[in-house]
Amino acid sequence: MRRAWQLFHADGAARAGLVLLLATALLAIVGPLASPWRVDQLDWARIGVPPGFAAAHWFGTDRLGRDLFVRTLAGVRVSLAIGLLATLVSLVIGVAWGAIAGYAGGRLEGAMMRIVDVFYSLPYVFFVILLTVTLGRSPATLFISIGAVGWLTMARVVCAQTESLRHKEFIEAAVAAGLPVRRILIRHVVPNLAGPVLVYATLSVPGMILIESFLSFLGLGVQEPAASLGNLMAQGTAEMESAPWMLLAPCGFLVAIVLALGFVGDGLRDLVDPRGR
Amino acid sequence: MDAETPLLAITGLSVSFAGTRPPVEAVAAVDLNLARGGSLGLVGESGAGKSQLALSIPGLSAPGATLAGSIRFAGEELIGASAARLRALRGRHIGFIAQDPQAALAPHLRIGTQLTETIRAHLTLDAGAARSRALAMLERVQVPAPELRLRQYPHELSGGLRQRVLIAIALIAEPALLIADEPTTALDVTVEAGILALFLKLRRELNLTLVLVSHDLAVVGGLCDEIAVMYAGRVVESGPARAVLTLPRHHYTAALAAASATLEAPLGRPLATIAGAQPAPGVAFAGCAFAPRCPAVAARCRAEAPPLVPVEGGDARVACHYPRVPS
Repeated sequence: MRRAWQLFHADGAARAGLVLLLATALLAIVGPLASPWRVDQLDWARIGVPPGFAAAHWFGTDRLGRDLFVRTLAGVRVSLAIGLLATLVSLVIGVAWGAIAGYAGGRLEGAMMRIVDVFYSLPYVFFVILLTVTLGRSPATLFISIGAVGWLTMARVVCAQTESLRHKEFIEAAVAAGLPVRRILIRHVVPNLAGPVLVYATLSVPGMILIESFLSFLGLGVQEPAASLGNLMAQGTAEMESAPWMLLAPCGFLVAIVLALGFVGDGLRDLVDPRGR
Repeated sequence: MDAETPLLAITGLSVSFAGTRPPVEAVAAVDLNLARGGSLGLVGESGAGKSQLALSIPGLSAPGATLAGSIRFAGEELIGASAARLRALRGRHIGFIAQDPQAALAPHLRIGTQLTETIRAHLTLDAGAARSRALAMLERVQVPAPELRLRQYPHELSGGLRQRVLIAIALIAEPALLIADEPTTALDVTVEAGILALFLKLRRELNLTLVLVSHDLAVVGGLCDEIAVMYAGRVVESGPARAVLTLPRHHYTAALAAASATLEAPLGRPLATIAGAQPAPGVAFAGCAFAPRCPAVAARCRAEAPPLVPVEGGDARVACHYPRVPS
């Protein structure tokens, strides 16, 4: 474990990514405390002002006079939380599905993986719109729709890994010792998936965040007055020519988060699979 | 079950793989009986079907294998038994030791966990009782500092110790039958001697019934009362170990014994080999499978497969039209 940390530490990009990620998260939590403004508080005196130190509107304000520093950081919190939670959901479903399919093999595996293929082939945006219409716009709908695609790739990755693990001697020895299938899966198979699964999960967080931003941008995700990077960018796009700061602030954070996560994920992948170096 | 019933009775067993092209019959028409407390060595060269035979007993044949015939364990038919029943038997009543001690222990679990999970899968024991049984079993298989070992991971142990741990795992639920598939092949000679001595001790102490698979006649001869020599999926000679080893009646057994490396052999002389190879799997042939390599082959051997029959004036059974005559 210590050696893993040293290797990770020696990887400049991964280290920088981790520092950037932690700094952003810290700023998103602590930053709003430093500002006198709240997320939905209106400043009638300063509507659409550019960034500056006047009245502590460090990132300026939007069309309604709301402080963009506080709103952007709130958006970062929402996006990070959704990215992490959706990844967690996809992790649980994907690992369970893939491990069972891969371990069972044969027809059950075929059937389970064909279900994954069917989900893959559904037009995603159409699927989300359908869900939004039937379930209503809520954070829960957002989770379900992001989770519904998120676990598919995870299930494929895990299924392939489990198949190769299944023929490892120590798994066959566990079968020969008469251990129950459930225990073999949970204690023998899943822990050995940890490496690739962890890497894939890290790499999928930015994807989840992008999906959330995209859906919010389309008005299907996080709703006003709550802020997410996606709906902030949607508003910013409308004012792009007159007030570019409204677009640049959320965009900058989104790029920073996605890049940082990508570097961290690459660093982890190099740890797990040294051949990539 | 009365004392006369053998613990393991195999009749007409065949293990075939129909999914491959051509279909392969890895084990064909095997009859074996093993009394409680007895020990049987399965010998033969690679591909002779000895491992497939051993795997088929606790239902561990690869998916796609078709088993025919009968395997009775303590009177219970195992062919066609439910997966749940076989799982309950494995580890509990039939212990199995795989070929490679380096690979057969889960690398991420402590030795103690691997011992206790096996016993708790079969017996209702609390954690403390399971742990003390694990300790007792490690002591029984002569693992030094067992307390320490329980906390260690497999990579912290030497090959010989790992093999002892595997034996402990196989025996922890006190099975009646232990199947060991080439248990010493991956070990150094000195370590191998220690493991073989351990098997002898355990057989004596636990009244174990042992099926030992090996390509090494010396290993089998030292451990087993009975020997079955396999060639191309069939038993070609079986009988008491002493008789088979000292007076082999089948030409294959004799060739196998001659091919064993011994310290007595003069230096510089190449080791004896058996020219040719086993028939390719799935290729149909008439007559005796060993005929193409046999020094005493006759026309009848190529036409008619010899049945396994008792030899005249001996305890062994041999499948040969013209068995060797002891001189």
